[in-house]
Amino acid sequence: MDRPKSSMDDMYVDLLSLGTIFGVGDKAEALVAGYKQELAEFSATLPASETPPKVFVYDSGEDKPFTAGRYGIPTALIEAAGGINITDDVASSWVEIGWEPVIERNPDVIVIVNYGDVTAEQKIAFIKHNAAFKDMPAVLNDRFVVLEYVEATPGPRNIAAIKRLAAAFHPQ
Amino acid sequence: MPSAIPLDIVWSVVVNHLAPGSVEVTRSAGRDNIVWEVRLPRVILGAIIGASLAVVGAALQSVTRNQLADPHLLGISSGAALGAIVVLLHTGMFLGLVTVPIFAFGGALLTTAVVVGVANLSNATNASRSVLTGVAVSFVVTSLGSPGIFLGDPRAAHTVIFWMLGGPGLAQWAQLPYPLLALAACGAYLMVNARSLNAMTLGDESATTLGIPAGRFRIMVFIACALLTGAAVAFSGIVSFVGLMIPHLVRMVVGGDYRRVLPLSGLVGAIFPVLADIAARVIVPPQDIPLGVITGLVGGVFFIVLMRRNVG
Repeated sequence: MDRPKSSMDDMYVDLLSLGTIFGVGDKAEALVAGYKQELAEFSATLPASETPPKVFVYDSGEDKPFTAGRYGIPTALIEAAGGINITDDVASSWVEIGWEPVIERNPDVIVIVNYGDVTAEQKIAFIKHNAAFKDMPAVLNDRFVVLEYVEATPGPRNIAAIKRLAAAFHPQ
Repeated sequence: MPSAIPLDIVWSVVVNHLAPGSVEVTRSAGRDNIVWEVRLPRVILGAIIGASLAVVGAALQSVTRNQLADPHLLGISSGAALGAIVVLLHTGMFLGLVTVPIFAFGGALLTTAVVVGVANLSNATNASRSVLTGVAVSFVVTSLGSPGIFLGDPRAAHTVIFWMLGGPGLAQWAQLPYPLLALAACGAYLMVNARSLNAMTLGDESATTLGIPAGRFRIMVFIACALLTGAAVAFSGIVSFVGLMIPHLVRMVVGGDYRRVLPLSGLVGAIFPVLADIAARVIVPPQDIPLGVITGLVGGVFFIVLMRRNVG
């Protein structure tokens, strides 16, 4: 049986489970209901687009990029914000791929995961200065979004992250 | 699916870059970039790395008179890994893209200096004791790397692992001159001294009677090999088994004369990582298996076969 693709339910289930474990199931359910409501209201404000922007998640790696596949929560975040993860066909949560598929799939926006000592600016600089990426729409139009590590992994900050992503995907 | 670019498009990209305007432009900028900026430098770097490591392996096997000698023996790679750990987990890429290669190369040189210094000080410049010195220093440096990983940001630990597993994906045209220069310079030095390498395989006493200062020559070869390995590892991580395996393979075919073994090791060494890199990219697309995995796997199996042949 194939694992289901990642969705915001992954994060909701975590919170509900924590609620059960600590005996605060009611609070957990209220919290999750609140998030679902907030997300539904927000999604209604998103413009319906026939061509959702193609997004590449860049965590780390210079000779090979480390990115999120279909089971990673960034895929769910990107789709909730109205985009498509270009690596959502890779059956993995987080995975190392090659640069060729990234160039071939021509992302419109690049999401940087920020953590550790290698800063987001250094990661963006690496991508901008690499001659192989010079014709990528994301580089040509300077469309980069920085997500903190806690925003790109399941947790309460995901909802705010979706809003930031949507703002970057649909600049108005 | 790996980006399947037809052969005619590949050629048109190459020709268009070498002789602009002579071929009509009929493919996307993306494919142009893939072939010219990613694949071509990657193949060239893989060839340079393979040739470098194979030549180093052959030379070290001669001067240490040890069939198991390979470029990673003398702690050079542990030093390079330490440099990479410092950058990836502690300082960040404050010099831009070249930070990791510079620190990796620096780490490799520093470790070699320690090995050479210790060998000279403890009078361990004969074949087996110099190997022991290298192994000992290697252990020390590796154990310095471990707290580096331990104290670093745990979320970034995978970046170090992926660096260490090796691969020529970092290749860019601007950086190719460095490993190429190292290969040309150190390779030339070793080739010029090929006859001395032959003599060293006979033993230090025989080599000395032939006029070769055995201990000093060994140290010079170490240094040349360290420079070459350091340059290779700095750009492509730790690619295992190439340095160990290729010289054996070549010797099985052409015998032990280093005037033939060295250049042939370079040649065969250049081909092997290129083939392995192709395999690395088509086995589980779009994932990119680290080169060290393929070379280690093939190398290990080869080694077992080699041992069986020697017994039989």
